[in-house]
Amino acid sequence: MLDSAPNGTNAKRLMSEAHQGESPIDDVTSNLADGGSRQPFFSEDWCAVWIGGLLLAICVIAVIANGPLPDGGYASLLKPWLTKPGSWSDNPVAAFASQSNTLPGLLAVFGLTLVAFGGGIAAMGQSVSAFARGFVLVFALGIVAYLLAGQDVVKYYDLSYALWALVVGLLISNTIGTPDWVRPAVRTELFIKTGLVLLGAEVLFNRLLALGLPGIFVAWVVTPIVLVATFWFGQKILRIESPTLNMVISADMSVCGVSAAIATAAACKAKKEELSLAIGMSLSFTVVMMVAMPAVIKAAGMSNIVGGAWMGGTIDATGAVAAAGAMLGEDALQVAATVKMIQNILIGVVAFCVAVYWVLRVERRPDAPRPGAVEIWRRFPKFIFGFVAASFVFSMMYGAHEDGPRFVDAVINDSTKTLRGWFFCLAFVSIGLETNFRALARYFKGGKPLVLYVVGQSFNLCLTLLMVWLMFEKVFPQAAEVLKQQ
Amino acid sequence: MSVNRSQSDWQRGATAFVSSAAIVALVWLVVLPWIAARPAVRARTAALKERGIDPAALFYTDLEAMPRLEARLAAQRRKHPEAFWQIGWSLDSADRHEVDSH
Repeated sequence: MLDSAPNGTNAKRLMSEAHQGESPIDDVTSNLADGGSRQPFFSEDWCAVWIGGLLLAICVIAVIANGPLPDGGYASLLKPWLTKPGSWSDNPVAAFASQSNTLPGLLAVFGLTLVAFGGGIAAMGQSVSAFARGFVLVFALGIVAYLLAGQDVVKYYDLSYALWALVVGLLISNTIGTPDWVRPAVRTELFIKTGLVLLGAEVLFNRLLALGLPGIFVAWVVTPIVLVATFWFGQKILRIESPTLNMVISADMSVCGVSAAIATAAACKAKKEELSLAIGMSLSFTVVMMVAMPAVIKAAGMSNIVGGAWMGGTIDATGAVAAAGAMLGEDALQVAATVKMIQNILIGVVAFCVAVYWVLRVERRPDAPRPGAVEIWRRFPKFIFGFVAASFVFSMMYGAHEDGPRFVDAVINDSTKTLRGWFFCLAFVSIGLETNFRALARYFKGGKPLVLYVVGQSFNLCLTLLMVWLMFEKVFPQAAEVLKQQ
Repeated sequence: MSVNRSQSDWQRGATAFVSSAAIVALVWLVVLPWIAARPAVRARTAALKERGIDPAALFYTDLEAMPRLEARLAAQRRKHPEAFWQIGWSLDSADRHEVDSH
């Protein structure tokens, strides 16, 4: 089906846009430059892998050094030093006062990220001092974004830090303009790709079978079908000009919202504006779905298990799935969150497949011969190796020993997920700082992205409901019975 | 910032920035705290916090509730492993088997 995608058109468009100086997450020209660099292993892609890998190693060592706790659990030495502003209701100062270590922790995160990315910048042969100057403001804006996202009402409606980081950056770039001294620290690609390498550690394949066969069918069979069908619909029926925008919206809507959008955008070298647009649409629809779906499920008299699995498979954002599931009950919450967790794990496979498809099909000129291994290697987004390797290593660690789950959970919960959150936050601040409102509006031309999202999500709702009904009502009704038990 | 930017453009930009920041401050410091203080909203957010649910979670690892939910699911799987894999297996027969073995 996708074989007949208009490859020539796409390749021409990518090349022409690269010449016009637009801003892909990692455009074709910069990828070619990576391959021809005198130091190819210190390109931005590889630097993300090295920084991410080094940070993961430090996080693992911090748990090993602390040793097993008396209760048999594990904890990281870094835990008190890696923080973000907390939640608050009526006084924003509470975001910094809720834990005694918030302010020292913020300073520690600032220092660690400055050293880590500064090292990468130095390895790429760029000015560390210029980066450091600008990074102070970028990090400060990240704190503001977390502060805005931490307000209880904002949090309740799943309006996450990614959105506010983008808004804060846009507010500056579209009013007073991004100061020149900040620009060296506006490193969207480096922040996103390093964050994705850290996210790889959270993609644990051991959790894939948590719901047995019903879970696999709902999360790993329906999701790729919806993703491919939505992409095909966008290319063939709507004829969306940008295949990268089409892919990012399709992945965002079918897999797991913001995290899937980030991973696929980087894998297919989408433009920053396309990622912003996809995330904005996804968050808007998520707010509606997390309120509407529990009401529809209750009104239709659907069981909590079927309703929970349906929401888990269709609502984009992980947190919104849990909140919607909780509205129905503990059993619905459990099924919804577990289905979404299994879908979360799919993003590793999706990002890898999208990167391969883009290199082999979309970027290929119609008159060019099939690319050889060297060409494929040259074009392939290298950070994907870091992402996949982190997922593989942590999955192995998780399953290799009886203590594996507790050890890996300590590494992730006490350190890597906080850093990953910060890197994505800094990436969205950076996107905002280099995006023009007018550029965003151009991508929405004709409303095609909206139509794509609505049609794709409608198909997703129907197919997921059918699969959930088949799995939990017809094929494995006993699984639903077991899940209802306390 | 472009050096060619005219003074009036910059002033317009600065005014827009200050106005936007003022709106953000008004919404976050007055409107949202007022909404958060409504009993219904307060009860809902408190219930979510109590259950370890962050509606803005990006990934499953961001959900505090996940270990609890996974532990519950693991217990259910241990008790009836066939339920999630074997087509035609029935809970009634498992219960009967449990009773017989006692």
